[in-house]
Amino acid sequence: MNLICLGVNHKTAPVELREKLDIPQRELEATFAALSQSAPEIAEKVILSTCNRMEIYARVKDVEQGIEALKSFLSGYHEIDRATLDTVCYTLTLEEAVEHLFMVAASLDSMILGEPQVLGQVKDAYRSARELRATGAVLNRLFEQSFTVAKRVRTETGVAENAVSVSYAAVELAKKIFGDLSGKTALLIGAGEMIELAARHLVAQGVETVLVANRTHQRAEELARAFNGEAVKFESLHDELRRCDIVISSTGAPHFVVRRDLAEKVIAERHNRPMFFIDIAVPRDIEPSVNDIDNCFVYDIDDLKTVVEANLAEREREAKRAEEIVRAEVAQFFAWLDHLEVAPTIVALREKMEAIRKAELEKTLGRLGSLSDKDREAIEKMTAAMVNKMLHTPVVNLKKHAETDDGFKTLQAVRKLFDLEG
Amino acid sequence: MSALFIIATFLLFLGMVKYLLSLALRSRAMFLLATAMMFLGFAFITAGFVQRSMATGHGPYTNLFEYCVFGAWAVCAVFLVAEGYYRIAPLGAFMTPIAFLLMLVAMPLSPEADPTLPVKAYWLTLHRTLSFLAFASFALIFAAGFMYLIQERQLKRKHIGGWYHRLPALDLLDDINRKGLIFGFPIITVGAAAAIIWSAQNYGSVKIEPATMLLIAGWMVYAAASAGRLALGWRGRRAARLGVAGFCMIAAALVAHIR
Repeated sequence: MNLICLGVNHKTAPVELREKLDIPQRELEATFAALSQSAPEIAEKVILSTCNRMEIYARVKDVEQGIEALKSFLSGYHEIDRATLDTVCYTLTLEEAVEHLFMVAASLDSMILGEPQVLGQVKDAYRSARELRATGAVLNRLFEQSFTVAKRVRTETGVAENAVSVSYAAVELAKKIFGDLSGKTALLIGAGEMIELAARHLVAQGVETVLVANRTHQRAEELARAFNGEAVKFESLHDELRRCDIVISSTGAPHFVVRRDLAEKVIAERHNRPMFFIDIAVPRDIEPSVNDIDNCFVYDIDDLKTVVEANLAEREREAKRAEEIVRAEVAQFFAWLDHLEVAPTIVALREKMEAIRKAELEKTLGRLGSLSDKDREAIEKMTAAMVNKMLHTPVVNLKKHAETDDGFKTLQAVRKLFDLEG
Repeated sequence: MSALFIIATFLLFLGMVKYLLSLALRSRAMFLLATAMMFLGFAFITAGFVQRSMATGHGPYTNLFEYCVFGAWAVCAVFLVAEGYYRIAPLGAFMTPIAFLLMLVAMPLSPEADPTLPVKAYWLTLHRTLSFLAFASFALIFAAGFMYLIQERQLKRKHIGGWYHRLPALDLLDDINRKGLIFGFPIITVGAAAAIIWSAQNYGSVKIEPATMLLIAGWMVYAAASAGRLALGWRGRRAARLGVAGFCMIAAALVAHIR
């Protein structure tokens, strides 16, 4: 019994090739049918196809044969030159394959470490394969466990924490200043894609009121409508600032829109309630020394980029810890897999029967009491023979069955029936 | 020192180490363990006091040893309430060392009662109980202020390091400062008034020692912080600094008292 993973990802293959190898959801049924036809010896398989990777996980009898079968299938199915495929494809077996899947599901192998979409894609791939009856006991367990790994990594490490895009970084900073953003007011000075994106994130995090000021009032009104907010006059900015906790500015103005003396006045009027200025304009809109005022925080576009870099570095540190979780889970998976081997199952079955025999024997002999040693021996022998004879046929059949593709199911059934887990 | 207090000291030490580790490793499991240790430590100090009160017939108000242990008990109590309320994981790393240090300081002190001080005096008991509750809430303000100053520095300097990721939001820390003052300042004021009344009744005048001076200075810092907060909207860094400074003075008063 062997597990293999064969595939390409954003590190090994350029996008043109990944495009070619892509297997869209709607074609999966046909693909599985074709794969079963071309390689009937592959008992279980899951196809994971996303924009960053295309991987096939399979349970095979023989590694070399399995890889060969998958490769020739892929090159035939996608009409890709076999030599090209050989150079970009990676093949992983057993522990490596399992570890790889766990890393992928936990987003430790992603282009941006910790990005959550990949888990959903792995789940979809597994569900589709399962619905199309392409999986069995081993891959089912493997994928179910990969979801557990992903969840553990997410909750026990900081891999998925901390923003890694500029607009999210701004939201994260706002949360580090204000804590809860609900009920807060944001002012957008200027308009544009970036400002809209940042505002969208802020609103999603609970910011209640959005004010928009723009040189052209009409554009301000449009943007305000999008956020259920209000457009304010650019000229009355000074008055509006007072009620704003977060200010995002991105105008084309050649001079500062918010100067230090204004900010000082506003913060005093606000009784020192903190203000967060996000300045994404170049040249800058907010005078940098506003940052020196108590309870005022100013971040320009470069500052935000620094935050993103720091967050990425933090994710990488956390990934090291996540890898330990992955390793532990891989070991656990293989411990389970051992259960599916026939020998340990038979041993466990025998031990169980022997234990029952011994216990019952002791009980009976204790009650009979007045038996001679010879009699005792005879009873002992008889019970042992009974157990052996009763187990003989099931064990022979189990060995025979375990060789077949469905062998795991039989082994599992035996383990369940006789309570041999653990 | 009774066995219960020694066990409690050991538990507080374990709790402190585990809080520091949970902060460094950001480990949830370590955090839960640490909280369990603190709960146990708190329970052991409480049990120790019950045992001691039954033996001596008075509350933990008679000597320096009892002050320190009572202080540790109050810090633990306020800490556990604050942790449950705010759910700030790093709080323990800043506050539990205070409780542990108090237990450690108590260890070599004589548990025998000071014969010059009356065991039962209404005003004095009130003064001591309130003072220690206030002390514990000032320890909370100190811990929150310390965290505030670190986090604010990270945000202002745009130096995003491990602290930025670990410490909570500024607003939350400022809220602890506010609530701590609302709770602690009236209590210490009433407590101080009780001490003055007691002193006037017994000595006819108020004794001023160096430790008392430091306590008065600390009280003035908290008075300024409370008034500034209410009237002038002092908050954030200024409030945090006052909280840290006030606690340093009170701690210095304690040290002066012990020497």
